[in-house]
Amino acid sequence: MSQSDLALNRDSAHPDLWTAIQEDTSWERCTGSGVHVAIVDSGIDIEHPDLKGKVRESVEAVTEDGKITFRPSTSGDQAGHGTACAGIISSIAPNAELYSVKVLGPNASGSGDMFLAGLDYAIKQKFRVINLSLGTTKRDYFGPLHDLLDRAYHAGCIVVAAANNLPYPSYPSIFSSSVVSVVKRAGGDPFNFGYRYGNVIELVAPGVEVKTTWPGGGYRQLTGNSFACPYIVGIIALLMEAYPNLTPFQVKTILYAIAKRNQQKAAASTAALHTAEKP
Amino acid sequence: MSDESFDTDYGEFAQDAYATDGAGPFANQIREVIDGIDVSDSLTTPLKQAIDRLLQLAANAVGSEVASVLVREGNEGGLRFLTAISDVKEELLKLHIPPGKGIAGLVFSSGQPMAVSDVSAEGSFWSEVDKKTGFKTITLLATPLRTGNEMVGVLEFVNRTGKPPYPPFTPEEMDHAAFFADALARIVDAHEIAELVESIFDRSIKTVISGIEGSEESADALREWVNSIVTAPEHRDMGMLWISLREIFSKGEAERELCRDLLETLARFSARRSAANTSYSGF
Repeated sequence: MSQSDLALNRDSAHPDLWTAIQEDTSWERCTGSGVHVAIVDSGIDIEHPDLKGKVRESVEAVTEDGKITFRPSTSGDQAGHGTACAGIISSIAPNAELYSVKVLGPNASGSGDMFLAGLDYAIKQKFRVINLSLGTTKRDYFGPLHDLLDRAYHAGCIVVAAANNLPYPSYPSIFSSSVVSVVKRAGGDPFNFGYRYGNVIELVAPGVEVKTTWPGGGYRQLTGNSFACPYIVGIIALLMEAYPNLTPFQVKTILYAIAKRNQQKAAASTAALHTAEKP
Repeated sequence: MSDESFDTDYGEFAQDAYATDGAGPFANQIREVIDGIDVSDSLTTPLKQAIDRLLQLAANAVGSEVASVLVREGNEGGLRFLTAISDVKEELLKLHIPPGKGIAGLVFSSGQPMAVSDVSAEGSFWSEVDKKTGFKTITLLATPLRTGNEMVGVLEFVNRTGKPPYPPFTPEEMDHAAFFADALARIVDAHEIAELVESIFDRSIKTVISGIEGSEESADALREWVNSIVTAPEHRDMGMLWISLREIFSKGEAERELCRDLLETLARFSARRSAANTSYSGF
């Protein structure tokens, strides 16, 4: 029996498990105020009109004497990826405090070691939500990333990772326990996200032709799992404003509950439509 | 150089080899012959042709007018164009993309594919490629080329067939691109190794030639070489190699070690090439 079937059977055995939990949509009216969100990426264009004043700190990884350290960054975002992710998060949680950890770009080689160092930095700073629209397929990093993600969990940091767009496992998105992993879908309301319990990559959010901020004050329409991940980060920021002490485990549970209700509403809507269409 | 002209040239050499002594005139003539054979084409040409054919298939499948393969340059994340299907192909092949620059640089460093619907919209766009080629990029799909754990380059699709406005690349087309990228990456990796081998081999030949010039004892070796080429044309390539290697071996330990490295690299290349052929044969 698949894991999805097991989940279904549990719900059938205890039909009130989820309905007994009061549906609360008050968090949807939150703005992410007071929530610290880290974006480990290519930097952020802090002068973009949509992001001005929202980025509290920008640091970049540099190699000195064989060690990777972080220093204040003034180089912005020459690649665009980080700015795009920041714009998506800000569109959902406009008052979330953004922290840029630059590990990609001309001055940051984007090596696996820099990626690990950036995530390590974000965890040590105890950023509550960490956006990782990056990953590595190098098996060498499986162990170190697993350790880092465990540390993140115990530090109360919620790591949200984009799935690999290609048919290869990518770390850390495939770590099912301590990571919220996201894959793209076409269109739709970002609050109407899906949850594929039993799949390696569990959450589904919009990630096709997403219009978002781009360095230089502009906007771009982008497609990729990288741009689905920040939507979930934004939603988590809203949840964390409403319930500041949520643990990563609780966040995943709540996301599942919300997605389940989304699916039930969609099914009910479809059924009603079919009923209305019958002669 | 055609086989016919090659035989004719060596007929002249044979007469001179028996008629005169001294390596000076022979060295120049042999240098011309070896340069004419163009060692650099013997390993990479078939791979390059395969890349071009696969790239065209990929462009047709994805619905793109222009496509290109970029490969890594140096160890800092820089890229250069290996080949392209484009009216501005020749200009592209001269370009170098600094580390992390542009959509290709980002895809290479992040390892994630990306589609951009409106590259030319307001906002920064690393447009050096467009500026230097006169091309206008409107919509773009870039996907990484990866073999195992190694990033070896980027596969790019630019614009659509026909005139703008162009519909953006879809998730399904991204998936198709990924499958082509998987196959291309293996050939690109083999091509990179072949380029390295040919570079080493080419340098070795030139070293031999410079060593032959002015050497008194080389006349007998040259005579023997020319004779073997004249009498057994099907072995002339192997004969050239044998003569060259013998000259190198005679120089010293460092040269012998270079030869061993070269042959081991060739062996590894052959093994990987065989594996690559097998793994994408069902594509």
